[in-house]
Amino acid sequence: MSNASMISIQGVSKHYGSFQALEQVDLDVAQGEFVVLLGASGCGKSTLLNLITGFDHPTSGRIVVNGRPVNKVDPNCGMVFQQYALFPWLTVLENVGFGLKMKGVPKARRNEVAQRFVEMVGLKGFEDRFPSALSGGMRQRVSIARVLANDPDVILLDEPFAALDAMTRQVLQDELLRIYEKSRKTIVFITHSIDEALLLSTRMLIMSARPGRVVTDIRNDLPMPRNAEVQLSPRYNELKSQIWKTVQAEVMRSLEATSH
Amino acid sequence: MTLNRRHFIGACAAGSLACAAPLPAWAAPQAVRYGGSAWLGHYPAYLAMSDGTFKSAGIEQSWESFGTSSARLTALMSGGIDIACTGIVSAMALMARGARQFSIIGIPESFGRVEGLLGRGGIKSVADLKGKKVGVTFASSAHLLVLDVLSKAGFKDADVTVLNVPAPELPAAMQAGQIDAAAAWTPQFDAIRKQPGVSLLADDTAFSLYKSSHVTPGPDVLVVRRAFADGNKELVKTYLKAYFQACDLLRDKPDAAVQPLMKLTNLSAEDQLAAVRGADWYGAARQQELLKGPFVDGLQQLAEMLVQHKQIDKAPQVKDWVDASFI
Amino acid sequence: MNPKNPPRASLLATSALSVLVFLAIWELVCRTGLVDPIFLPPPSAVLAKGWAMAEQGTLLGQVLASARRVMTGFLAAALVAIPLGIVLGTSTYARAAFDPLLSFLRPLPSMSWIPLSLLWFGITETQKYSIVFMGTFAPALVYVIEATRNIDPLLIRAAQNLGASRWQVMKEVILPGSLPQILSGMKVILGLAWTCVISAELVAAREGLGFLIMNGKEFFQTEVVVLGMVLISVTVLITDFVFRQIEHRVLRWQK
Repeated sequence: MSNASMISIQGVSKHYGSFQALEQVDLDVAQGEFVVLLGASGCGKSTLLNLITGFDHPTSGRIVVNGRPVNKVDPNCGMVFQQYALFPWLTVLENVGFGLKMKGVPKARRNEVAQRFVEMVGLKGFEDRFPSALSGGMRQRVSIARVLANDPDVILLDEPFAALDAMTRQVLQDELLRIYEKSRKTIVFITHSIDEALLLSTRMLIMSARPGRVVTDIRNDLPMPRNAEVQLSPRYNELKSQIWKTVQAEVMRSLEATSH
Repeated sequence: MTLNRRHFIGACAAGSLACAAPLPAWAAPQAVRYGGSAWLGHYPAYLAMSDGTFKSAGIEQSWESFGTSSARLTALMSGGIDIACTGIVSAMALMARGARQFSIIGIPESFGRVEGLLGRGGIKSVADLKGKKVGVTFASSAHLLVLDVLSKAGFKDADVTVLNVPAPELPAAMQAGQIDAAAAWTPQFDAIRKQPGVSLLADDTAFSLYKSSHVTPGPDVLVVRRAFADGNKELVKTYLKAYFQACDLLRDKPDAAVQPLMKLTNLSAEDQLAAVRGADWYGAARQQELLKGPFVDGLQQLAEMLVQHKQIDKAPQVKDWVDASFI
Repeated sequence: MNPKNPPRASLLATSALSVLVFLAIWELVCRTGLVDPIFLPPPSAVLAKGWAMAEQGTLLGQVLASARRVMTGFLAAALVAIPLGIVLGTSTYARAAFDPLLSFLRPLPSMSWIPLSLLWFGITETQKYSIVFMGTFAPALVYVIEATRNIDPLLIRAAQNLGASRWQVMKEVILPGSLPQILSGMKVILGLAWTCVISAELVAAREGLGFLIMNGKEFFQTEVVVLGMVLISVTVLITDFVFRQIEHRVLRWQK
């Protein structure tokens, strides 16, 4: 593990007019970490992700990814959106190969690479289907494959499984963990669900609202694989209860803040 | 249109009343709506209006402008105008359809030399037109001249390309070389003739019917709306009297007519005089002979020719439309 | 059977029946002699004329001549308007630069372009194509710009995130993404192109449906005029149908 962090967020603040979305966030994410951002709505999690990808610019402070400061949209931070954002006029294979096409990779090679990732997310046989013919879970898999095929340094996921049913979610969570273990990419994942955070993360950051900042930074020492046994263990409950209390306190605090 | 109909009904009522009762000298003038353009066939009507001849006869003529004979006749048919001078080709197209809403009541002039077929570049005779493009305004007298001249020269349909070009576009098209020949009447005829390298291939005197019966490809006729004429017999007679006075003036004293006509045509004084002189003006005295004699037979042959050249479906009996009772 | 969704066959039958009733009434009114046939020819006369022209072999030629002029002008307008519209839809500065010109061009009917087109192109076929072009270009451009605005901005973000440059976003996202709306707009524009056919064929045309109508008018052959009008409508119906088939093929990816 290298000393230099993959993502370095330095004194970042972001406000929109009078609304303070983020205040003085200082954060380092090391290479290979699976960081989960937890928190109530409106606490700036999505804003932070948008700043890392370069979709938006901080009002103050800066962000450095893999040694390069972020000042425009960079494919090195691949984003998986909650609404999938698949190109409806392209097949699964073409969607997955999109990033490579933008790089100018010739068709044959592109399809070869895309094929590999389509299979990696378990969609072999669906290469020539259009997104409109796929279920939500399958679409999200395509979205993940698309990002992976581009070989980014960092993968960012903004509540990617929130729109899916519980069973599909579970399947995809397992899939994501498998991919994480195999590729050892740096991942930043946003969720509302404490269980999801405990299941996936190596590190959890609890954020608060008004203004948005990191309140708690917890290392997730639960053993992998996080099977049923682990999920029923006392340590799991301990962590969950700790997080739950923190989150609750923050929700109370933000409710009080708004009632003024 | 409805407004004009109301006006017509009002005018007709007034006209009938005036005709029925004996007219005192200070009675209100009667309205006649004339459809014209800057073409020389309309000179008499315009002259009589501008020099007060109509007014002293107790007639108030209003002037409606139309670019084509067909537009003028359409207005006549739907009651928008009462009297107009029109090219015979359009009138015959209407007659061929059996339209009885109008009558031919006079022949103002004959204009043999101000219409013709002109060629440019190496085209010096009609025979040179093989494989070339001729521009002419369709459904006009010039069009019939072209059809006649080409068929007499032995050309088939495919040998010469005849294009429909509205009269105002012909000089520019000739100049730009987009057509090799143009058939036009004055003033475009004069304008094209003045272009460098242009020669006259045929004018109306080369028309086959002209050679046999002195009939040009599209003589002008004065027509009146039947409904108007039936209700205003005396008015129409008075109108024609004043109208042919103007024709006499055009024939006998063309210089006097130049100034007033220039307001209609925007020609220079010189060109205006030439235009007036370019036609043979017929007075009231000749009308009986024209309307009842061999001239009408000539018109009938013209109708047959239109059928032959597939311009109209069947030839009407022209004399059924001629009404000489107003002279 | 859902009363709100009657079977297609009965809807078609209703339309067909109403057409027949309309034609019957029209024919009857003409037969009674209430109206002079110059003002309103009976459908039987229109059909007879059409049949006569078909037997002579001239009917198809008239339709094809107009179709050639309409399609050429329309395709030229579409091929310019689509890329230009995508650029204008994406770049606010370019849009601001073009807006005054666009606002000026939009309301001008095709007919108003006749004098200028004659000066620039003379009495050529190009002049005719230009009339159709000028009658359809500005509305086509407006349609394309509108279509680009309806792209899900998330798709643009996703493309940028995958490394697309500005040009690549336009070509790989905005163009294919707005294609459904562009195509449906072009269907409307094609119909609009046909309304230009009369102005296009006013000068130096020897055949074509516009020419047929105007020439018929010159000779007071009103059934020819009506025939021309009917043929224009029928041709547009057919091109609409063909267009929809093309849409289905190109837009396979839609549900």
